[in-house]
Amino acid sequence: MMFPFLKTAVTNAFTKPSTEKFPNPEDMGAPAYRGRIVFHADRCTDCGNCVKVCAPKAITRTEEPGEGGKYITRAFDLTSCTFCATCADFCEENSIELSQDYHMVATDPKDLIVSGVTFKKDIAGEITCDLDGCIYCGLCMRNCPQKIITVDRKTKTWEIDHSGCVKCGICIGKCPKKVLSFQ
Amino acid sequence: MFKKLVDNSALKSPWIYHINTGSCNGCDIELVAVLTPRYDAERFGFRLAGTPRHADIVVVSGPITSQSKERLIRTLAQVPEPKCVVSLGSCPRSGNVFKGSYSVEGPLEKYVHVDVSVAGCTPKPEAIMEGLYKAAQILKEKREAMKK
Repeated sequence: MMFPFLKTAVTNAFTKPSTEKFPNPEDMGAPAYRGRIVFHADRCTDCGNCVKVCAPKAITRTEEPGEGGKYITRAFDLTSCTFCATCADFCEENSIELSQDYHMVATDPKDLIVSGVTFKKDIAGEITCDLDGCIYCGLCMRNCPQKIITVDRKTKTWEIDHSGCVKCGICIGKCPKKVLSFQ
Repeated sequence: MFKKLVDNSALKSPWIYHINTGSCNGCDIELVAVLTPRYDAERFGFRLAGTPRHADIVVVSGPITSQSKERLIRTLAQVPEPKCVVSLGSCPRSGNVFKGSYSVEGPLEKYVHVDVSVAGCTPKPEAIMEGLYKAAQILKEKREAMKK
């Protein structure tokens, strides 16, 4: 054959270029890509798990008093984030979501801060357990973000340290016998 | 007239210089991926320069370790004005998971004004392209401001 590359040259002349188009703002990452954080502030219960598990300390929480409760601002600094999604895994209410949006370019770093304001009502009363119905399964102890509940199945004791309670209500939702309540 | 030709050519070929200040190499391989035929930043004139004296855009990756701090300052001083500094990934802006370490002397903002920050750990090559494109536009504005 005289021109060994002729076939390749002709086929390549009619194929699309392998270079990707630019700019392409509609293009999103792969289905499991972890990009810009989306924070649903209305679902947040302010349990504090996300702040605790964040390795680069990218999440900050600020509190402001309001009428009949308090306004809690949670800010996610994307210039500090590792996009490991541990905060999203630990969020009980699924209020943190990592979207496929990877277009995170800014001249002002303030544009790279995702924040949301949650209004948390003041809850009267403290978590109490109706010990008649309690089966001492320990689910409340395991799911408490502040680790203030201690349950012992052998000695049948249920104890709580009220000083550390943030009143997130996760234990009430997890209780299989529905014996926990704010009283 | 000759000067105008040089100025116009310089606008279309913003050369980049990449400095790694203790990065984990994640951002560095993504920056190299930007120059491959698939993303092809060279079609816009971006080209890796061998020395900071030839560069217009400086791309910094890594949290700035004590060992690299002096080199970073020396490199930035060698880049001729107008220059544009791009921070690649989370590390130069905040230190990421390395913040608070005894050997990390970041953030980059302490030493030089950062014009464009690309977030992500690591950013996708498309995002880096966007950042470089923005940097080229800022460079153009800076050149025009210098003329006046």
